[in-house]
Formats: sequence, structure tokens, C-alpha cells
Amino acid sequence: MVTLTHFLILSFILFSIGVAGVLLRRSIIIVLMSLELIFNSVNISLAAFSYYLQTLNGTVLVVFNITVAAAEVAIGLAILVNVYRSRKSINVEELNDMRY
Amino acid sequence: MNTPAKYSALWPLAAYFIMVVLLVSSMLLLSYLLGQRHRERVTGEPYESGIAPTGSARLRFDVKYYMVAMLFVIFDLEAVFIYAWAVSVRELGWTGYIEVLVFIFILIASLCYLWRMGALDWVTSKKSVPKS
Amino acid sequence: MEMNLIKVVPEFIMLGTAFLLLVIELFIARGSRKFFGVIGILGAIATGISLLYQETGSALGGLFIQDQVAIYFKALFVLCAVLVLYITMMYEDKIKHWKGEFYSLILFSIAGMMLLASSSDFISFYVSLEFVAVCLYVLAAFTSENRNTIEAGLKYLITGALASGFLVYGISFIYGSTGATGFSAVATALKTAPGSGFLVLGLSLAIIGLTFKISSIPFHVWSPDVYQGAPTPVTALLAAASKGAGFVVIMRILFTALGGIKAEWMVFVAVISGATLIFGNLAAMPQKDLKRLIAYAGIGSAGYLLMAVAAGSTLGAGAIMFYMLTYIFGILGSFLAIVIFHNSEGSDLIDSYAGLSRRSPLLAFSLFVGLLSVAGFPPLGGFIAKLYIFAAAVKEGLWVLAVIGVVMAIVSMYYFLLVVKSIYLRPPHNTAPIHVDFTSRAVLYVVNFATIFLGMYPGPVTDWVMDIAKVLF
Repeated sequence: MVTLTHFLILSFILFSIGVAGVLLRRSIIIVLMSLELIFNSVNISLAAFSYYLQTLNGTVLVVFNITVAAAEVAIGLAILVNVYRSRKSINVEELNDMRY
Repeated sequence: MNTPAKYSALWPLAAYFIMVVLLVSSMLLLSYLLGQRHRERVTGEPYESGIAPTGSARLRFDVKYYMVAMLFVIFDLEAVFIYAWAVSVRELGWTGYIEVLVFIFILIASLCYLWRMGALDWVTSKKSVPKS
Repeated sequence: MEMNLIKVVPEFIMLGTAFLLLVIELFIARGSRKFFGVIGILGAIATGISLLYQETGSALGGLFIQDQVAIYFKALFVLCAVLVLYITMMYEDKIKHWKGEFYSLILFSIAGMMLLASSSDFISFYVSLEFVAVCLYVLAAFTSENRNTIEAGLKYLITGALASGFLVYGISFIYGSTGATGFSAVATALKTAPGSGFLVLGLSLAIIGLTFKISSIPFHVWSPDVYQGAPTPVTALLAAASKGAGFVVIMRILFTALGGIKAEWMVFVAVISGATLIFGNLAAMPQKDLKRLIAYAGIGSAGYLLMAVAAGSTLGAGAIMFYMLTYIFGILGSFLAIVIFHNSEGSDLIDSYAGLSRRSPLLAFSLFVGLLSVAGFPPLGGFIAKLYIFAAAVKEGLWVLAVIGVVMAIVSMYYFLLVVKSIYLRPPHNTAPIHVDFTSRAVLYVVNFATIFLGMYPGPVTDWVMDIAKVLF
């Protein structure tokens, strides 16, 4: 029997993978993918709560969250293109021009 | 909730799954048994209508593809909100209808804006882009 | 479902102005867009006037609440809009492309902050927060020819999206454990059922996610790079308006929705506040770029404001509201002076400000008043605000935090006085006077007067603010 806990564990695992991806990976593309993973893991958690509580609020938030994630990643890709144009590289570790 | 009756509704899915596995494996097996086998110099090369392939497949695509993909994703997602309206169209009545009209109007306006700004142009022409 | 659209009129005016600018942009040829700033300022003034006629109540089917606190913060955001648009007009020549969009994005982000100040449900709160964030991501990376700007924009986006992920994950647990998303519904649910482990987890994640908006630990890392690299009007917007928007929602969530479990979040917020105070102020000391220095000082300010949040009382909430008012005047006056100076000298380094008092006494005086008000120097506005924050903290027994706060206030005076010393006491590299046009002079005089006035005669404002802060509890 699949219970709420299973969904929450799945969501937690995906969330952790996403956070680890953002913090550890060097390619900006992978970082953006990890961000998408974070948002979608939250969607799982929200949808599961929404189903088990039998209220629609969580589902509504999922719909908005999908849009938000798309908007953020779209802007991320646009900035990424400009980063590549100015530096010929998409490695996060090379973004260190500003130091005091 | 915990009875097998809950799962019995899933039998078409299981049957479908089994059929897919059977079909695919039988096709692979038959072609393995019946097909001819040979190994020449160009056997392993990809088939491109008799023309020898050149270069690597990992070539760089124009950034415009990403641009179009991005615009598609953004406009595509807005459809989610229209679905949400569509399932409860009777309950929402005219208020909901007007709201959706406003929503679609904003989408069309933003599309016009993108068009006018030249974001949809595949080839950048100098005259249509009023970069201030 | 009660819509009550009349309560959303100020936001509509702001959004309408932003859309109007976009439409005008479509039909005119390239060239200067300074008059966009004028239209934007007129729109902001119209928004401000419509705010005067707003009555309290809820709208949009309970997703939107118009109370005194919301109206106060909306008035602050309108003020920010006016000043930031003016700063943008001064800065405009540095923006090469899409100048018109820059103005309308500023108005869009201000409209989002106004919605944020009024949100009374986790759903409308999250959507308006992201509305603001998405506008700011674009703005922070706007002048994309500049290497530093594009780097700043990307850092801002990645940290911001990560923080949003934490925030919405936290919201999902708060929703899961209380079964509600409305702030007052969550508060009611907490009265009948005590908080569970899920709730505390959700609460912690949500607070951590919110620290991004206010640039406090643990999501402070973006702030120095973004303040330094982003176009200066955007830095001003982030420093003043975005921080205010962050605090108004923190107050709504912690005081209104989760006031019932104050014991759970008080220590957590106090620890974040202490760490932020110490880090921000100590890291500000060796800075050589003025915008970067203000970024670290801004992290320090977030620490003070969080101290008032940790107090969790009416006094604390009123102190936050008054602090934001003085902070906006102090920081935006300084940024206007920074932009004018940058237009003339092309540098933001503290060293290049040497001898400014002999080149332009007004710019020097504005920086003097603005920065020392942020540092909390008597008798300027920021001093009174900090006094109220310490009073709120001590009254709730947060002695250790108050002591850290006082020590760090002295540290902040040290690094701001270094700037002042450079401006007033060191010989100038170049003695040519800096021209400040008539309007900028007038704006600087008004802002400086406001900062000094709030310090000398704060009584009426503080009384009023303390009175309206009650609605949060």
C-alpha cells in the first residue's frame, strides 16, 4: 500500500538530489536542471498532501509552482546564453570576477 | 481500501505491459533467429542514404532553437490555467469566463510584444527591431 | 467568493502604468526614454493617492488583505518606486538596449511587492513573491554587455531559485500539517491542534527560504556580488524595496499565521539574527567598493530587523516598520548620490570619493547623512529606529542579542566613518567640481531633510506605526 509517507520520502530524496546538484555541480545547465528537480519534488509533496487532506489548495499551488519553475529556468537559460557570450564557458567556478 | 479489489481495476494495464514485453522480445528474437549475419568494413557505420557520414553528431546548435523552445515552454504552460478553468466552467459562470478572457488577452498582448520586438524572427532584420 | 476588486485598485494602477510603458515602447523610435521615468513617477503618485482612499478589508476571495500595515508598506514601496525611477533616469545613459523595459520592469516588481504586502494566503504570497523575484532576476542581469552584471544576475537567479525551492517545500509541510494555506486559517488550525514535527520542519524551511529576500544568513551570499555588479538603480531597488517586502511577509507569516507557536521560531530567528549581525558587519570592514560595502551593511541591517522579528511583539513590529522608513530614505539618498558621482567619475571605489566635500558639498552631505543614518548615528532617523529595536529585544528578554547588536552598531559606525573620512578629510585626486542638476538637488534636499526630521522629531510617526502594528497579532 502506498501511503503519504512513501510520497514524502520520494519527494525528500528528489529534493536532496536537487540541492546537492545545485551546490556541487559545475555546469550551469546541470544547476538549472537541479533547480527544476527541486521544484518538481516539492510538487510531489504538495500533490500528496493535497490528496490525503482532500483539499484543493495544494493542487492549486502545484499549478502555480510549475509556471514559476518554468519562468525561472527560462530566465536562467537567457542569462546562461549571455554568460557564454561574455566568457566562452558555462562553468560556475569561473564566475569569480568580483572580489574585494 | 486495502483489499485486492482495489488492484483488480489495474488488470488492463498489466495485460498491456505483458503484451508489450512479449511483442518486443518476440520481434527481437525472430529477427535474431531468421536474419542473416555478416560483418564487413562498413557494417557498423550509421546508414545515411548511401552517403558517407561526415563529422561528429555533437555539433553546436544555433541559440535560436533554445529561444523558440523557451517561448514555447512559457506559452505552453499557460495552458494549465485554462485547463483549470475548463474543468469548472459551469460553476464559475460568467465571472470565470471574463477572467479567462483577460488572461488570454494578456497572453496575446505579450505575444504581440514579442513579435514586435523581433523575438520571433529567425533572421534578425535591422528594421523590425526598435532597440532603444 | 467575494472579489472586492476596488481594494486592488492601487495595484491595478501600478500594473497599468507598467503595461502602458510597454505599449508606448512598441510604437516609438529608439532614443532616450527619460520621459518613461516621468510617466512612471506620475503612475506611482496616482497609486499613492489611490492608497489614501483605501479602506481595510479582504478581497480576491480571501487571498488578499488590505489592512493598515499593508497600506503603510505599500506607501513605502510607492516612495521607493518614485526614488528608484528618478535614480534610473539619472542612470539611463549606461543602459544600451531595451531602456523602456527597464522602467516597466521596475514598476512590475513594485506592483508585485504591493501584492506581497497584502497577501493573506500562502498561495498568493508565493505567487507574488515569485512575481517580484522574476522581475528582479531580469533587472539584475539587465546590462548584459557588462561581465560583472551578467555574473551578478546568474548568481542572483541561482540562489533565488534555490531559496524559493526551500520556501515552497516549507510551505508544503505547513500546509500538510495544518491542512490550510490561508494565514488566518493556519492560525485557527494551530489553536485546536498543537504543532507537529512536520510543522516545525516546514517553518524552519520557510524561514530559511525567506532569508534570501532579506539577504540574511544562510542565503546572504548573493548580496555583495549582486549589489556590486547589478545596475545601480536595481541595487537601490533590492536594498530598499525588496528588503521591505521580505520583512512584511515575514511579519505576516510569523506573527499572524504562526503566532501560536512563537516558542518554536523565536530562538531560531534569534540565532539567525545574531549570526547575520556579526557576519555582515565584520565582513563590511575591509571593503573597498562602496556598493559592496553597502551590501554587507545591508546584511547587518537584516540582522537588526530580524532581532525585532525575534522579539515578536507589537513594539518589534512597529520598530521594523519605522526602521524600513528611515532605511529607505537613508539608502536611496545615498544611491542617488552614488549614481551622480558615478556619472561624473566612472568609479564606485571608496578611494575615488576622496575629497568629495570640496568638489560637491551636497553629494558629500547626502552620503554623510544617508550612510550615518543607516549606521544608526544620533540624531538621524536610523538611530531612533535601532533604539526601538533594542527596546523590543530587551523587553522580550533577548539580552544577548541586544548586546551583540550594540557592539555591531559600533562596528558599523567604524566602517561608515571610514567612508565619511575619505569624503571629508582626504585630499581630492581631482579638484574639478561635480555638477548636480536642479531636480537632483531638490530630491537630495528632500531626502536628507526627511532623514534628519525622522531623527529629531520621530514622535508622531512612531506613535502611529506602533498603533497600526497591532493588526498583525
